[in-house]
Amino acid sequence: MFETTRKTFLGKLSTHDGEAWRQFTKNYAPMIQAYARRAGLQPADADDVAQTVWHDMSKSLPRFTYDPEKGRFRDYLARVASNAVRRFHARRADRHAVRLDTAVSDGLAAGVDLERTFVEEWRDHHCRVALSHLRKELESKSLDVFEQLLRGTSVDECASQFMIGRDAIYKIRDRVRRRLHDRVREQMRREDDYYRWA
Amino acid sequence: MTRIDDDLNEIFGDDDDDATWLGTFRNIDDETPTTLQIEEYDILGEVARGGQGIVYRARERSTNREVALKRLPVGASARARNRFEREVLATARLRHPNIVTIYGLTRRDDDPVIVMEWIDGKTIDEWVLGETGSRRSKHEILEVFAKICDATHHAHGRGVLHRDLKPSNILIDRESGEPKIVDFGIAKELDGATTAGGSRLTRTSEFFGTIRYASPEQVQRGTRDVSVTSEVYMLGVLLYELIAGRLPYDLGDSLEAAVDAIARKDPARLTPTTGDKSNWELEVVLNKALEKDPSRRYADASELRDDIRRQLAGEPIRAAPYPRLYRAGKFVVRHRSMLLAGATILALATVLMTSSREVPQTKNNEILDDLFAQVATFADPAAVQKSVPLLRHLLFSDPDLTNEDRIVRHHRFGQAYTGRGFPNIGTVEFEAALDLGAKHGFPSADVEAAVWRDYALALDGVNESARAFESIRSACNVPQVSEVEYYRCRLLEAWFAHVIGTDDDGIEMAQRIQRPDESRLGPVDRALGMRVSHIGTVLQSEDAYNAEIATHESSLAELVELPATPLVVFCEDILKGGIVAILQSRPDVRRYQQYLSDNYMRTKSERGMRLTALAHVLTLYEDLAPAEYDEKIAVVLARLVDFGEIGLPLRIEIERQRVRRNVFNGRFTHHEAANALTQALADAKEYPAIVDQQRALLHHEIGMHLSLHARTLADADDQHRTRETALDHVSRGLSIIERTCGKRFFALSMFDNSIGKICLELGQHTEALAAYARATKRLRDCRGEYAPFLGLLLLHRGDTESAMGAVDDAANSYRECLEHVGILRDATSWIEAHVGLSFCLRASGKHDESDRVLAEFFSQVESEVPHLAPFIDSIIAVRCQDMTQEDQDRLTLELLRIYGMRTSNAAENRSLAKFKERVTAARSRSKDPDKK
Repeated sequence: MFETTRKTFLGKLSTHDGEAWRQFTKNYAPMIQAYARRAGLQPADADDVAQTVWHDMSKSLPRFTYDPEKGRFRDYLARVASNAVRRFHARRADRHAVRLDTAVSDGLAAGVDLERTFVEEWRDHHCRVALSHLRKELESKSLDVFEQLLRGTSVDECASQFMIGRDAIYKIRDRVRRRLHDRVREQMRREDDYYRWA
Repeated sequence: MTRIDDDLNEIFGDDDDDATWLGTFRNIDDETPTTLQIEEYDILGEVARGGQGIVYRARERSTNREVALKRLPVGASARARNRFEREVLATARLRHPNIVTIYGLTRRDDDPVIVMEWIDGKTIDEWVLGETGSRRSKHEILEVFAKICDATHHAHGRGVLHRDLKPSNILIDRESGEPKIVDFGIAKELDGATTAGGSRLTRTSEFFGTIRYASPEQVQRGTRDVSVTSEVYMLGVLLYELIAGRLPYDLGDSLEAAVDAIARKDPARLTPTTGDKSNWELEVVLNKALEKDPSRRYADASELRDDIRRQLAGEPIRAAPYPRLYRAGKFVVRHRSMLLAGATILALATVLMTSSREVPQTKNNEILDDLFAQVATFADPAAVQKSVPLLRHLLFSDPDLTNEDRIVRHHRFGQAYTGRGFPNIGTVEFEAALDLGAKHGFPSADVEAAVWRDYALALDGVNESARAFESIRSACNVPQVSEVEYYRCRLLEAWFAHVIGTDDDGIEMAQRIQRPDESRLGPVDRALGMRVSHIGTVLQSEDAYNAEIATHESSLAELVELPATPLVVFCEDILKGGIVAILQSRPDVRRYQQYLSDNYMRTKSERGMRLTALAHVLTLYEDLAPAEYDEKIAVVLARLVDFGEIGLPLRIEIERQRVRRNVFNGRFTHHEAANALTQALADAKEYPAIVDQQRALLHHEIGMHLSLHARTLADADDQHRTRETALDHVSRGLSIIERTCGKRFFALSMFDNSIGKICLELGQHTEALAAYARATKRLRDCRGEYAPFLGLLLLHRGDTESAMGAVDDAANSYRECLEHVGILRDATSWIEAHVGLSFCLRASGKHDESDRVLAEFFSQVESEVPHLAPFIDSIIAVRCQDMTQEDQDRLTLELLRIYGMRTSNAAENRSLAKFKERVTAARSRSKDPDKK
């Protein structure tokens, strides 16, 4: 019942829900840009890549039929994004009158596995989102402790700095870990749920 | 959902492992700037973050001095780290009051961190706006700029290039007001770059500089070519921006446009300030710094600095403004790489550009002729696309040109474009010439006719057939045209009337044209005359075909050496088209392919190039095994992707070919074929302008495949649905063709033919008949080239009528069909029409007439095409399906009688054996009618 009444992203797109699309690009733009930069592009170019990705998606989504066997939305996005990066390299190489095959091996930094890099960036993206939510939700004391831990301060140092026991520090650390863990899992699930056809 | 768990595991590691997940979150965290922790320093805050790294303000504990720490962004590659360390080595060698000092290098978790002088200040573009927001004075700017030049020169002298000189990399110290160049982030060692190995940190295709400040040689050839003079250029852009508050050129809104502007545009004039002579001088300085050709710039930053200082001191500057001749030459030289013909053109163009006042007009036109002769010998159409705009710019920039000159020049440019395969641009030029001519008169009647004539050819090139015909009509109506020009125009008029399809009879028109005295005709006129006089000829024997091909080929040979004017290209196309059509209708396919492959190699038109490649693919790969063929085709297709839009038509063409082949050898079902073509259609959608015709054809083919696919479906509803889809595709194709190609009767009729076929299958007889009626009506007056096709349409019409039970109408259609098809031109239609006719006659009780038709038919088969006899059996067998068994048997017996009398060879005897089997079956049935 829940499944049938809820509207998916692609369902919304098919009814020309511009807000869904805006929300999507807003959510994913930083990630795509970060990915493009990791793939060896300049910031301005990375922005171009993001635009290309939106463009390609808007073209291919209407034809996209979700097939759970074929993988997740993430994989679809990875394909579109890495193709965009490849095309960008190729186009740039073309402008510089370099033959495509040399350009591709040359332009893509040696050994950059575009798909894998994407997956890493995608995980980072979810971590970032989870972290920013956590910062809003966590009570201030725990947050302070966690920020220290995040900066590499040891548990002992934290204990003396905040004048609480080491166990309390551990407790905070584990709680934060669990919350981040659950949050990331929930985000990923929701993503898979939302970005599908059926 | 196991895969989400995989992700979670990657992020969080095992339960007890706090290092993994804390590390992950530490790395991705971009909200805590103070993640940098280095023992000797207190971090005071993050001040900047960019592609080059993150900069922190910090205090060095040991010395208590403020420093800037710069580290790479998290996740930087080894290459970036390597480059980063190089930066330190390069910059640490520099000691200059206007270059930020590097104190040293430290590390944090193996990541290098640069320790450098802390500058409390703002970037130069912020500074230039002043405290109040009003721009700082030119004097102030120039003083600071001279120091920047000096610092740059200092670095150059120590083998260090900055590579990214731009406002954000130049700070102005808040206290001292001194400029400080920072961020030698992509500095390259001059020495190292020329020696191999270690220092080649930058890659050809990786463009590090910011495009706005990049030099022409950088954008054109990649970063390897950056030199001291490139940085002089960057300084020029910087100065321009500081003074004018904008960039020297409008860079447009795409990277391509920016590259083009940097490589080609002249800097915009500085806004003149009243009575300020020094602004003019400053422009001269800027122009010299911003020269496209590095060798014409200031040789190094110190020369630029010195001229700036001379300006500040009110002394004369060294840089000299260019004389007009030099400017013209400069313009040409700058575009040298685009001009294949090189020196001759440059010289000619320069002379034209600079001396039109001194040189008499006749001389000028001679030069113009030479120039275009040069353009016409370019081997590469792409080069024309690039070089003609340049020449155009040169040749129209002369204010003293008369309107007549302009008409001639527009005409020539139109010819150059059209002849080189850009008729779309050509039409614009011709229209400009016609406009001017209408307002101010043409130089001569011949020029007027020639412009109309070439305009018609260009319009034909963009498939504006109806307008092409109008235009050639206008050419014919120009009074007092020379005999030869009139002859050409009339020939073309007849040709268009015939091929495009008009109310006039092209063949008759062709016959009425008076041929001028032979001595006055050139090779093009002779070729055109020959071709046009042959339209409508139906060839009836092998010898006639061979003679026809020979005539075409000898005409073609005469054209090979001529320049690629629209008329020459057009003649080549129709001659080749003629040969192709003749060969295509012959059984020797191999020769046809060979011909395509050999002859389209030399073609001058873009259309020809496309065919060349296609023909190559066809002939070269024809004999390959299917898998290997697919592999080769995949390679070709992948290559074509590089060509983007230009390659798309050919890509689609090859895809169509591939699908056709795969269907032919049984690797694709019609369903798969339709799917593959649908994909090709989707690809074509991105480029609506150039592939309208192909889109239409794709729709047509998809429709045809679907209709064939429908036949294989078991379920009647499925069949119906598929056929409806097929019909929809073909109809869509038809509407595209109608919209874009005017009255291309052949193409329109082909679509109607297919619509008829599908309607027939859908049982929509009336619609089918209507489609055939449309198609035949269009083609009725076209004999010659389209006669067999008209015959085919009539045949299909007959079939439809016959299926509707209108046997008399059908018999008439078949008879009419036989008027248009010959046993040599389209034997299959010819045979089917005979068989159909005999059946219809029989059906309406005219048995004697039917027998006569068949007897005559078989006698012709026997004497002209004995190899086709075996096929006749199967055709008749298909026919018989719709007849009652009784009729079938009777006919078979009669056929046997006629057929048996005439068979002599083995193949026919095999057919005969089949007939005999059927006869036996028929006989047994006639003895026992209930068994049926």
